[in-house]
Parts: sequence; C-alpha cells; structure tokens
Amino acid sequence: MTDFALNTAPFSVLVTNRSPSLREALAQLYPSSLLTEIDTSTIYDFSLDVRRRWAGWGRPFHVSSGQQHFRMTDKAQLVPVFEWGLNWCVASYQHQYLAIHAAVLERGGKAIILPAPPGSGKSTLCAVLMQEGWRLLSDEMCLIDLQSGLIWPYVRPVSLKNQSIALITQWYPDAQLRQITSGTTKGTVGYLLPSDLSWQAYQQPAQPAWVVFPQYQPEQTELMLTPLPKADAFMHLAYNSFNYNVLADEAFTALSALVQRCASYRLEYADINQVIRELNALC
Amino acid sequence: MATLANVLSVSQSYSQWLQQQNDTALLETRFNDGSSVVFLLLTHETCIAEPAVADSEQTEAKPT
Repeated sequence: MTDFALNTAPFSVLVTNRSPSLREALAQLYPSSLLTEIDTSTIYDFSLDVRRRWAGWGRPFHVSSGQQHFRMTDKAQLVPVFEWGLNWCVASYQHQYLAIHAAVLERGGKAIILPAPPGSGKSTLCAVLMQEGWRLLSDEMCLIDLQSGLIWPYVRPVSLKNQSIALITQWYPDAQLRQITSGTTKGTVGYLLPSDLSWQAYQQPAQPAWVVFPQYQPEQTELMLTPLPKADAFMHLAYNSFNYNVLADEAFTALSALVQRCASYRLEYADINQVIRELNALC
Repeated sequence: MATLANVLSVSQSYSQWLQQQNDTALLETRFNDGSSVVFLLLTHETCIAEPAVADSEQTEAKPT
C-alpha cells in the first residue's frame, strides 16, 4: 500500500494507491511539500482510487472515486489518467466555486481568462504566457469565488498535447516538460511544470480583468482581437462551465458580475509572437 | 420566486401556471455595453435578452 495525499490548493485529494510507481512519477510534477502522507485527522475534498484489477487484461489499473468508475489504464498511461481523473473529480464534485473550462493567468494583479474548446490552442497559449512571465492560476479550471468574484488558483502542471510539446520545446528550450506519454486517447501528452512564480503564489487569488476566447487560425495573416458583446461572452462562459446548471441563480449572479467587470474579446491568431505583444499590451 | 405555497394555492392548470412563472420569475443583468442576459428561475434557462426597442424605432420610416 502506498497511499498518499496531494494537497493542491484549494483542494486536497486522498489517493488510495496500489501502483508502486505513481507517487514517484507525480513527484516529478508537484513540489514535494504537496505530496504527503495521509493525515487521518484531515477531511479530504476528494478521494481518487488507483487499484489493480486483473479483469482489465492489458489495462490492469482501475481509476475511480468511491463507487464511481473513471477509467481503466495500463501502467504507462497512469500519470495522464490520474491527472484527468483529478480534473473529473473537480468538475463533478466541487460546487463551492463556479468552475469554467478555461486557462487563467495573472499579471500586474489582473487575471486573464482563456476559455476554449479542445483544439483552439488554449493550453499552448497558456504555456507560452507562463513562460513569458505571467503567473499561472490554471490551464484547465477557472474557479470563481461566488461571494468575492475573485479567481482562485488551482496550480497544476500544464497539459500539452501532440505538436504543442515540440513547439514549446522549440520556443523555450529551458521549459521543463515531464512525463511525456504517447498513445493516450488524446495522443501524446506531456506536462509542463508551473513556473516558480506560479507555485509561490499558489494560494493567492486574482481579480478577473479580461475574458479572451482564443482560436488558432493557421491561415490568418494578422492577429484579430475583436471586442465581444458582454451577453455573448456570458453565454460562452456559461456554456463552458462545469457546474453552471448546478449552481443556477448563484452562478448567474456571479458570472454576471465577472462579465460586467471584464473586457471581453475574440482572439484569432497564427503568430504566437503577435499574441504575446497584444496580450502584454492589455496590462 | 415561485414557491410550493404558490403552486398549491393556484387553481389554474399547471401549464398556465408554468407560463405565468416563465413570464415573471427571472433575473436580468444589463451589461455596461448595453447587452443583457436573462435567467429564468423556474426552468433555469439562460438566454440573451432582446434589446429594448425605442418608441422612435417602432414607427415606420417616413419619407422626408
């Protein structure tokens, strides 16, 4: 038995683990201070179970939370499946925050929200901005405090996929990519370590200032940053939320306040250097 | 906001009552760019509110 806890604020996770290598692999992605022994006096936010099941021939590890099945996997893909399992727990079970599928970064005390569907270049853009000095709050989950309207960080390694891995390595040779796994359901997946700045402020919320919907358009010659009507921005954010329908009128009120205070844009781009200049100029 | 007491006290049919609630029980946010969104408390639907049409825009254009 190699159970452990992962204390990635604002959530703590109890990991019931039967894989001898998982904790060691995660130690490459998270600071050692966040990977701890189980504290029996702590009430954990989630539990994630990694058990061995011989019935899944070739995919012997079963990842679940309590009685809720998540996925079967083999040892080689355990890290990405564990990371996706954590996302699944937060998306499914936490409702203290309004959660939106988006990357969030901060500069000068102001946060930029980058909501986008898969394939839009969100994670690549998030990784680039972090490498350019923005503080990472999350590459996956925008957590909005229902009372204060602040965005809470959920700092974890940035998940990069397929050609994004080569691009980030090419643009930033010092970027720290770990646990590159090929053959997953999303292709090749690798994890970019958060910057020191991001970890140092991993419990420090930020004031939302911009909502930018990015779309990578290879044929685009000039970057287009187009103001978006706030009602449209609201609807896109609600659509990209994991728990808007659960929180109902509370979500409507919190999201209304956020959209009211933020400038909203649609960003279409091909050249990453143009994006960096444009977004830095917002600050 | 609709309550169980409201439901029990009305004598109309459920569909009439539902329609009435849809017409009245909502939250609206008007943003500082003039656009607005509405949340229907009964059905939890969210939609973009149609912009208010000013009186002057309701009249047909006349040749000058």
